[in-house]
Amino acid sequence: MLKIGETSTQILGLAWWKWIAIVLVLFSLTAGMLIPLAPGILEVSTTVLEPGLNSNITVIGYGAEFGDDPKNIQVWVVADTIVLACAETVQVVNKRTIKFDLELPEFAPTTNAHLFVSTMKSGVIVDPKVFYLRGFRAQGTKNLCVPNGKIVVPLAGKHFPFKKILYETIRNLYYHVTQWFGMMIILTASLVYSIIHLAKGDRRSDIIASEAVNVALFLGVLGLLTGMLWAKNTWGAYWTGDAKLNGSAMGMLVYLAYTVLRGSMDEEQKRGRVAAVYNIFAYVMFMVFIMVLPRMTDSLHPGNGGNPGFGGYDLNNNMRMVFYPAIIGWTLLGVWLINLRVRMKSIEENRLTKSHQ
Amino acid sequence: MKRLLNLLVFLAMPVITFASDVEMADLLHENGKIYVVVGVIAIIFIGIVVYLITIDRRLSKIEKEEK
Repeated sequence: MLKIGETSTQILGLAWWKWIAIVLVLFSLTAGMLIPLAPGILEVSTTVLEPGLNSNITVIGYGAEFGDDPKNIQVWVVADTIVLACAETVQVVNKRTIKFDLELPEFAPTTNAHLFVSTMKSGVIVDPKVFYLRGFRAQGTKNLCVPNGKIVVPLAGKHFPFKKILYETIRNLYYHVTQWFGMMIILTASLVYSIIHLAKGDRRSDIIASEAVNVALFLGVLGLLTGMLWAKNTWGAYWTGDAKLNGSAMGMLVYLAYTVLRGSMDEEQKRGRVAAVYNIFAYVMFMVFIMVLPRMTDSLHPGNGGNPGFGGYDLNNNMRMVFYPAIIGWTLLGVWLINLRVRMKSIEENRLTKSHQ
Repeated sequence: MKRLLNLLVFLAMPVITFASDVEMADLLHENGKIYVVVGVIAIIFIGIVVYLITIDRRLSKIEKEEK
């Protein structure tokens, strides 16, 4: 248990958990920014394939190294699990761009196809369902060509997943999402202290509960602002009618009402009790607004409505390795802020009581 | 308080110019949108600094009253 407002074991004059906060936040910033995205395909010039020869297809890669020998670069098209076509020769236009022709058969098992590009340095890059197959007969059971297995090299090193639309912004998982996680953890702590206050009626837990809400609101504002910037550049607007967005705004208002309610009362005992009771109510409302309601409708947020969570297939192990420490780090940074505010508030309150006596 | 507000407007200047200037907005989409991440980290940093300033000011007030 972190002792807020009291001295816990100190290292170099600072409580030990504050050092952990510093280290974990630094880790989330360095690892989160320095680990590269997996190579991906940014642009394909032709997205509709027809039977016969499809010539001059240009592919622009992202983080992919096409600079090596063109003979080592292989391109093939897969529909369902059937290899439909392999490019005979691949022309390297520049480091980022390759050009090739594809000879397609008369038939295909599906109406869309995946593009595979294999390179020596960047491994196998897949652009799933990038092609629409037009004018094919619906059949096909066996591979029509075989990519040369010898020069298919797995990708080395740590990478974050390459996702279209998101691209590098997938890193915001460690900065935007962690603010909300931190907020929820701190609000849970606030709820616990409110319940302790109702049981014991002490001044300390009342102060901790209210300052925790204050810092949680601050993290919520950061979450909203960073989310708006992210949304503008991926969804296309600062604010959408998304259930999660409106829910989080309403949840923030519920807690804003907490601070207004608590600030409007002078008598300490009454203020503490009313604030604590309202905090329990606010916590339930908040969780309903941001965790329950968005899951019952459609939402752009992963993990809500019809959207699968980051946890499904998007979050690879490298992301987890950064995400979980980042949650702890940013939350502890919030706890540090609470710690400062509680110590300050305690001095203020004690002096107020002394001046009354 | 006015000084704090001026500081906020000054800090927000890059964001304000981003919003009005189309070419600058395009910049956010270049290089795999890495500038969006930079912007997000900048918002968090500015937020923490502003929050620290408010705490610092309140602490100064307490210290002054103590004397």
